[in-house]
Amino acid sequence: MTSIETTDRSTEAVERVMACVRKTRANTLPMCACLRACLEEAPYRDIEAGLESLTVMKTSLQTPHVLINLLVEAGGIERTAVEEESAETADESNLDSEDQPTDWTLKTTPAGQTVLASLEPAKMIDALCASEPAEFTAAIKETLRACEQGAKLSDVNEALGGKVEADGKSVYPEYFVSKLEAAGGLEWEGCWKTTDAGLRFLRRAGA
Amino acid sequence: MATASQASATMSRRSFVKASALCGAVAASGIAATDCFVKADPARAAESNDVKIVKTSCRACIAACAVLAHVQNGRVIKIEGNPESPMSMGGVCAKGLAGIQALYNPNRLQYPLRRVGERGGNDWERISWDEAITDIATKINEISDKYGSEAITVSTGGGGNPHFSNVKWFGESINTPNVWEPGCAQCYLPRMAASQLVYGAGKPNNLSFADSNGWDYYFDDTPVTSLVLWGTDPSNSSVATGGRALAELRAREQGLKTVVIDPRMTLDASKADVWLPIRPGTDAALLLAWEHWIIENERYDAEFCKTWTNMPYLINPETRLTLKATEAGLEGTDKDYVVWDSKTNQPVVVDYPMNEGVDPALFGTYEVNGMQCSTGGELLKQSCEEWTVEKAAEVCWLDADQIVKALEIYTDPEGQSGIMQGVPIDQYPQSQQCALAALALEFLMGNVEKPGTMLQNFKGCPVKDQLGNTPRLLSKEKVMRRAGYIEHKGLMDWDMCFIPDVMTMMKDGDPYQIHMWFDRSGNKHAVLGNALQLDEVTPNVDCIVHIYMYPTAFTRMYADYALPCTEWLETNLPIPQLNTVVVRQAVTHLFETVEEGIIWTNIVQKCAELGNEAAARAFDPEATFGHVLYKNEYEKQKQHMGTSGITWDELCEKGVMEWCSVDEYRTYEVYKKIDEKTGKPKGFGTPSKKLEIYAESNTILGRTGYPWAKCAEEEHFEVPPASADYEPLCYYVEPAESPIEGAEGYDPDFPLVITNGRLPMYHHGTLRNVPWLREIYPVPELWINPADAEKYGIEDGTWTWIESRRAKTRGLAKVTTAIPEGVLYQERFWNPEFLNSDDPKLAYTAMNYNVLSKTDAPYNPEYGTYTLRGFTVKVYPCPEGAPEGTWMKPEDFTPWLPTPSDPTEEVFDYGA
Amino acid sequence: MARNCIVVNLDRCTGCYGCEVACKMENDIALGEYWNKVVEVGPIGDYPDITRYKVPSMCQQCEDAPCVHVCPTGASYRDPETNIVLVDREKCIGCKYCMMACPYGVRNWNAETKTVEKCTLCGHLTAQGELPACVKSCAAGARFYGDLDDPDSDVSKELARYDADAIHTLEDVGNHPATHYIWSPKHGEWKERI
Repeated sequence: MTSIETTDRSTEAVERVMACVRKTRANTLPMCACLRACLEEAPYRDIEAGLESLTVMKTSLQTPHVLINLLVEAGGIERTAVEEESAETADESNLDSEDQPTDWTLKTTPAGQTVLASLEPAKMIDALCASEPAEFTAAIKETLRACEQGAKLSDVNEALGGKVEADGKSVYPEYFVSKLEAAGGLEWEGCWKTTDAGLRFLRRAGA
Repeated sequence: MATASQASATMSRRSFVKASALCGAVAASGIAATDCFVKADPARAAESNDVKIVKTSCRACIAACAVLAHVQNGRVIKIEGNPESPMSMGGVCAKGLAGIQALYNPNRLQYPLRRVGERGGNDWERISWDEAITDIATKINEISDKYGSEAITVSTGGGGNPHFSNVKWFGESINTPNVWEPGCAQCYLPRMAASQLVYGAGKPNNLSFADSNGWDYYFDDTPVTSLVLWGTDPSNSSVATGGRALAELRAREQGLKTVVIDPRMTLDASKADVWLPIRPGTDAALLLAWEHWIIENERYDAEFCKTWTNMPYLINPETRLTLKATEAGLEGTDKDYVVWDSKTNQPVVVDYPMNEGVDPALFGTYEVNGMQCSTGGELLKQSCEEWTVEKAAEVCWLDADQIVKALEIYTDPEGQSGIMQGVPIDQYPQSQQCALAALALEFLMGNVEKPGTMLQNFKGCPVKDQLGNTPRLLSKEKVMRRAGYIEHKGLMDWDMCFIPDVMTMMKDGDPYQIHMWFDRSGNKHAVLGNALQLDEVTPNVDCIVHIYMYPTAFTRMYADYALPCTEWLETNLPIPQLNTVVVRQAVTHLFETVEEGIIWTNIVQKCAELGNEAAARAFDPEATFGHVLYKNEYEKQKQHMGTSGITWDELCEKGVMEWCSVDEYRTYEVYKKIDEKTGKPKGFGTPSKKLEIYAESNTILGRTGYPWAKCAEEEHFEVPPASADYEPLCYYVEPAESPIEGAEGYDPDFPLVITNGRLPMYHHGTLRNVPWLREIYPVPELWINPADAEKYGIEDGTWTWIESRRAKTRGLAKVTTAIPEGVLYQERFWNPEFLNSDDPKLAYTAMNYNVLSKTDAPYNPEYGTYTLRGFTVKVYPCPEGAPEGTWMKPEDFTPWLPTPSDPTEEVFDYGA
Repeated sequence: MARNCIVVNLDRCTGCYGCEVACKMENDIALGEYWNKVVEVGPIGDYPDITRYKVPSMCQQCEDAPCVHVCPTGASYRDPETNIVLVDREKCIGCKYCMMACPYGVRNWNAETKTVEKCTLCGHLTAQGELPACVKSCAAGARFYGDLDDPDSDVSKELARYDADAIHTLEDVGNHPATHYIWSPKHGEWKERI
């Protein structure tokens, strides 16, 4: 089954995918991970299995399977049926068997690729800094630094020394934690850990 | 009267069949009685072993009327009133009578659900309670570790069988300071908290009749002669209790004079001696005029004011608080007050309650220790000086003569009156000001703890319907993170937070992000101000759990988990009513519903089990100062029964039980009772032991958080002051959206003032899916005065657009003189029929008053009250009518007719 | 001969629609159908003398009932023992003459059985010494049931507490409705036709 707009990189197509990805923030980064995982066409079971092991998927309450379906409906991923030589259907009794038929492959559409590119953590962290008072950039960097080796929330609190104020805004340290997580700069693995993107930002920004 | 056998011979066949239906059929289920035609002797029917009668209590609203539930083979088949209740006396309103349709509604949530797919979709998977509790507790613990437990918010509401203290207790047990409800600052809190500050009485003991105050009026020997129903409509808001009490009072030989202050001509207004159709949002102006008139005409009880209020106390002009002996340079402490003795013309330190032989001046400004000190009364007088009846008439859109007529009734020296103050004043930014002024009026008149007064301090019942919560579980650091904590300290009284800040925290993450939301009530869209903001704020909340009896628009659009809780016919709770306790005992139990208090404790227990140390403390007697969270239904019941000596089983059997005699209960002038320790009268529960006409406790609250700021470390800790002083006296502020040309908030595009208000067949946002109720009032009426209807081209019975600065919605116009010119009325509404349609948003946009209302500044200083009533709109015809799919005809509601089912076992262990 | 009826005291009535629902529950009445319907009256008049009330209307138990006169089959009949006007569904042929003849429009067409029905004064309950459902659960204690000819009945006692100018019936066109309403002049004017 092919989605009609899968070759479409038009504004409407991109907007449709973007709306899906951004609809619920808990799903945004997991959906980006889905889009990334499908850049190379591959069987859906392989893709889902790969996704299930990623930390980022845990922020969503939905399974990779469900998220991928949503992206397919929104035109971000193309699902293609695979003609099998034999007319086998999946053996429900032994789903772990490596002899399962492929059934479908998944591939990120051009619209999906566009969305993924625009939601690159590097871009999002930069956008975060740009949208905040200039004085907050230091707190953003400090938060990323504090989590380089893994940190508890209390460690971040200590590193920032309490509330951060600028331009009439007065925020708690977890303000930056939440925003950096949403931008792909931090990940929770039982503690806060700066992501590769977060580390690259620090290097770029001249920590 | 016909004998039984004669009756069976002469009744029509249908009515004969109905007689056996009591034994043989399910009368309320829609199953035709002829399906179970059993010839039974009608005279024997009542004694049949097949029908059990269970005494319980309704919770279709908060009145808790005692009812008799008829149960046959485990199915509830009939509801009627229980005459044993001293408040409802056997009456039940339409809402309670329709309880079977609520109980067996086909849309009941039957088991826990987890969403599959996007919010707004309608795909759910069934999960077990164990899985649900584990998922949710894991999430709570994870979010607490990741972002701090304050990133979780918990909300409830007033409708849909909630239990306030349990919700707060849950929030504290999972260590979040952010518990709220759409009422609170917009419903009852202002009137209750104001009373606690200036009257010093516990919860309740205030001027809200619908919240079951005014206990003296339920006894037929009460000497009350007149009542002022200020923005309250017992015929709608407490039908079988308050409404019944007023009916009984009117039925006395002497009758009852009433003044009704309400833009709507309710059934209470229609029977009033004076109806003042006040412009919504201007109550403070009228209250100030009443203060002024009473002072000018010397109708106040001077002796009472001198001895029992702080009216004669001198005020320090620098501190704005009562002058203390030390500040006056007189002999005494910094806790001693000072008055001006008219007899000797000098300041005198008060010898509580008042010095013999001293005549304290109620008014005037006097020099003391180099300061010009006015009395509290003088400052009161100055505050209302400009508020003549004529000025109030102009501002409030009233007739000056009618205002005076009302005042004459209220202050009749031959009579005994009281003010019942309703929710409207809690619903716009002058909430505290109006609450304080009404109390000040009652204090001026000496309407305190006498037979026939509204304010009473009757004996407290040892059985509790509200168990109280555990504010001191929260550390200082945690409490300081409560949304709105410093600016709106009045919220501390209920340990709740400021909603507009919560919305900002959800949407913008400022000053920190809310990541998880538990909502334990019906449909926030119907009751939250500026309801469409929910669409904007929820996407950034990672996990939303909805606990209710059936899915609402909130469930459909936002929830990730839906947990089924119990209807009132499945719930256990003892309820004090005057000198009795009325039981609510579960008549049945359906599917896998769980009473909300049990849901909460199981979540907390699981959190603790999974390593959440804060949650574990909820069960620690030391950390909770003895208020340990119940673990199961048995422990919960025990806590409710308190020190009464009455057992739960005993109460269930009796249904309604006296816990003391009527005479023991009705304790008057409690403040005069001698305190053994001091040998002096106990006085009132304020710092001065006097009633605060000059509400300095309000000012102190704003500056310090006293008496309500508390935390684990300190019982009273000082909090930084709010940005401006809370005023000790009432003042008037023209509504921010004003219909007055020339006023700052005037916009000619939005010329009409709109308000909402209760109906007898609905309670807040609930019951819109009950066929018997919905067919009575299928869509909201928009009341519009004939002059406005003509001006804006609105015809009676046609659909009309109503538009505010924020959004637009519809109402069905009712052109009527029951609403004055310039004012509109429409009750809150939502349309469950759209939930399974292609456009579920219509459920809360089609004809929903609260998409119009206003939640931005200015707010009330003390509570942060925003604006649900008294903002401005425009109206114009809606020729397109109601959206297709709106259910309006009686037969439309057929799909919601009850589907009775058999009782099931409780999900969690009883515990005994 | 007894004159069993209901008296509704509108000085007490809060217009809550409880009696509508109690009746529906007791008699298993379909959506959209009513044996007792609350009708809104007013507002009439100009401020400050405005009348507004709600009047529950059901079979008025006319002493000279038009519905009995017009019924071709005798389905609409007066019970010889209790004197109450009733409908025998077995005999009803669904011609609806009685509905046209009723001055108050309080007879109900049962769409399922295709017969006419109406308030029975809950004979099955009163036969057991209970009150009609609408009377028993009235939230304001505004409804009374009994025999007007019995001075000790609830209806007689309630009426005795009020002056004549507070006691009314719906419009009497020679049918003499037994059902009475109490509505004191101080609360507003009485409308015979609703």
